Amino acid sequence: MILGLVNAPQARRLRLGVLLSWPMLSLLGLGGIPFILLLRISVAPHDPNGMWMPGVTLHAYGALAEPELLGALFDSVEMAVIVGAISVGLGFPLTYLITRMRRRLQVVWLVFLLATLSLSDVLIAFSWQVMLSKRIGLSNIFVALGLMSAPESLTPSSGAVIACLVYLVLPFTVLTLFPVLSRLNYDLIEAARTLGASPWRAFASVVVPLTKGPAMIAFVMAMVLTVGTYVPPLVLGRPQHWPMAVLIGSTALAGHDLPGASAMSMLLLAATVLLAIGAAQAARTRLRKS
Amino acid sequence: MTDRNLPGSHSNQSGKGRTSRRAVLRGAGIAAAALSMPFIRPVHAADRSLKVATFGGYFEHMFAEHIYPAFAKATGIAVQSIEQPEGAQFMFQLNEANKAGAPPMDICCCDPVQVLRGRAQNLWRGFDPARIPNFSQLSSKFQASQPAFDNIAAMSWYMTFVINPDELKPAPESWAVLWDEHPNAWGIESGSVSPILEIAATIHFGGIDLLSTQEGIDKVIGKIAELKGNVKLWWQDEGTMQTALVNDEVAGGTYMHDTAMVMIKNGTPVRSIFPKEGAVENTNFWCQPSASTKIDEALEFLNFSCTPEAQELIARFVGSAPVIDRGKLNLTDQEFTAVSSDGPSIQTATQARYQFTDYIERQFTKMVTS
Amino acid sequence: MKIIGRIVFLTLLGIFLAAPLVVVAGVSFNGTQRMNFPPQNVSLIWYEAFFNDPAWMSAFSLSLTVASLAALASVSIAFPIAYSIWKYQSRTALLLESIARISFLLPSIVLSITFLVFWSWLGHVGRIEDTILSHAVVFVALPLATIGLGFRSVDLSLVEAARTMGAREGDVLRTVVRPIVLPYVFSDC
Repeated sequence: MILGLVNAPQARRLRLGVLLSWPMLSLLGLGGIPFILLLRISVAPHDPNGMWMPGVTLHAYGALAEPELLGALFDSVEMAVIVGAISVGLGFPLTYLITRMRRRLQVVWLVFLLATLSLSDVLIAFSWQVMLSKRIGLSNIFVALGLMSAPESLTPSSGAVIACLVYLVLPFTVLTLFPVLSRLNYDLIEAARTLGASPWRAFASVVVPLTKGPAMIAFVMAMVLTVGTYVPPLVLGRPQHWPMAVLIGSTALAGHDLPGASAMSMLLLAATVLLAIGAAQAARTRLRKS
Repeated sequence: MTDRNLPGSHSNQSGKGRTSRRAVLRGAGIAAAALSMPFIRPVHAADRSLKVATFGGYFEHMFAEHIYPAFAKATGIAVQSIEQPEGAQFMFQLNEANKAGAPPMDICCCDPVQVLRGRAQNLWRGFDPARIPNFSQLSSKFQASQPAFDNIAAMSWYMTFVINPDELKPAPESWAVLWDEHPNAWGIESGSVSPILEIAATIHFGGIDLLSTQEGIDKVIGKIAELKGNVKLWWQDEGTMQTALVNDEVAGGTYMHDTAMVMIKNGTPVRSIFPKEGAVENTNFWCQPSASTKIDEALEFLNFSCTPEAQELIARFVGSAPVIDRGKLNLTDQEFTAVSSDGPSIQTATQARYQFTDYIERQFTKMVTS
Repeated sequence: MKIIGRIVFLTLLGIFLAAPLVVVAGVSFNGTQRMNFPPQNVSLIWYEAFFNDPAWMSAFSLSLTVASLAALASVSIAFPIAYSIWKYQSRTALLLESIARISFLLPSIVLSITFLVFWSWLGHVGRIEDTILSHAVVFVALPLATIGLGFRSVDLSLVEAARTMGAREGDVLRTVVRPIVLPYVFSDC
């Protein structure tokens, strides 16, 4: 009995050790070490010939105070909030409607959404470039409908970037919300309806409180995905609104300046984490109020 | 050291293949580029073999289809063709791989700035000039003395004024037209790799010498800033500019002559113009990572590349300009004018681009985004 | 009226989602890269080129291979963590779970730079294992969430019941837990 008491925690530890060694190795090795390396490089002197030089300097962080960079950071955050809001604003009702469809139609929609995921961001940006062009783009449809007098190019513009990013993010939003919404207890809605609530009222008073948390997760995910994108704003956006991701890419790959790009990455990461925490906090206080 | 190393800073940052309609469908963001792997073509069993890397896409396809087989026929050495990523990641990776003794290729294709970077890191092997007798066949400017003899001119290509003839009449004869009143008309390459630096320096400051100091660079970028109202698209990736040209989104701009020729062949009605000041000439060089063990085979390949026959094949199939004088080549007028021009050309400011890469990139971005 | 609104909403979103797929397909079927509506020189040359070109086919099958192996590797990392949390409430496993969540929060551009630096630093160039492992680690948060969900949906009273009926650990896992969790594991692959 005594022996058993001594050994139980040890056996547990041994089992856990065996179980968790591979996840730990891979997560720390491929998550932790690269990240620490990035942190290290962000405080290293720039080497015009190679990746970085030995030594420690805060030069790259000092260079972050440029107005252009802070402007780009602001553009990143603004874009993330807008795209996140639109994606959840469209994705939530879409998912809700899909979950209430017949089984077969549900599958069709989900396969359709998965199919859009098979396009890379480069291909999607290319498609939007074509769809917004003067020659065969959207404006030709507007002209045919009498809304515009002559076809014109709709790029570069913030609208083009946002449309493209919503396209990229929307499938993820739906796939995140789908499991939650499909397990909703619809009897509650029926009950609210029989008690005289309008459908909209039933939705707002029953569905929304139950799904606030997942919706916030979907919103944060949409923001993170948006902040990281590089190609759509580069191809479709005005240079004045190029977000941080574009500048990080060109600093590293064209400017050959890894310490600079690493420091900018750290700044973007900090902003993303703050954004996520802020959103979670907002969701919590809202929940408490309601 | 100045005119010998012409930058062919043909860097396109998303790592897409050089040239090619395929590049559009191939689509790879920089995420993919950072994680991408070179595609290695299978090679038939042969006693002697060599791994040669060139830019991906159409370019690599043409080399694999037309150039390497001719080399194999001449020497019995089979070539394994490898796609080489572009931009900074190529140098980062190659350098570390070489230090580890395992470079992924025996010969790679570099722009002049990469030649200088690699040299500063002791990345390249120096060649024995006596083993490359055909070196003397190259145009004199590619034979200028080089201290290390670690690079051999492979081919040249031009950045020309590519236009949509329907959108821009009359067709421009000078780069100066870029600065005329044409709101939202141009697609200009953005960033430190852009030929617009040399173009602006040549048109407005009488030559590229101004680019050799930071003050000069600031002046040139200030001149480029005057273009902002005219530029609709500051492109970083040639696929983007190609789509814009195909869909009449831009009236014209700086673009690769060879890619424009492929577009014309595929039915896009663009025109590639060599302005009277000259197109911007870029050259690529063969280099060998010092840890590669295939020394003899590499020398034979370099010697082959310096023959008129090889340069003719490159002109005909790859669409690049030969690095041997026209007189020694058996190219028809049509074949020659398809890839090159007898007129003047604007040289690229290699040393400045090497020395001030990050400065130019920062100042350029600042100018474009402000 | 309500139904009409719903149909309009779904139709518009359907068009929005389908449009880029149509453009890509349209370019593929056009004889040239210049796209026209309706497509001119309708041809299958692009598809022919794709399927007849060893480089292209190999790139295609390569990306399929990478995707499926990365998914498998992801699950192999996520499963032990989710199991340890469910079975032992292990703190180490909880810590690993939060690390996985954080890495999912990294913007993709930051990840690209990180892995570019990391693999270059190791002198690895274009190795397929690198790509697979990088993807696996970045996306491990997804299977972790769904498999965790799976474990949580295992009714503990079922496990308890099995145990009181004399089933050993292995039996419980095999007969009660596996059928419930397995669908969640496959949903990730």
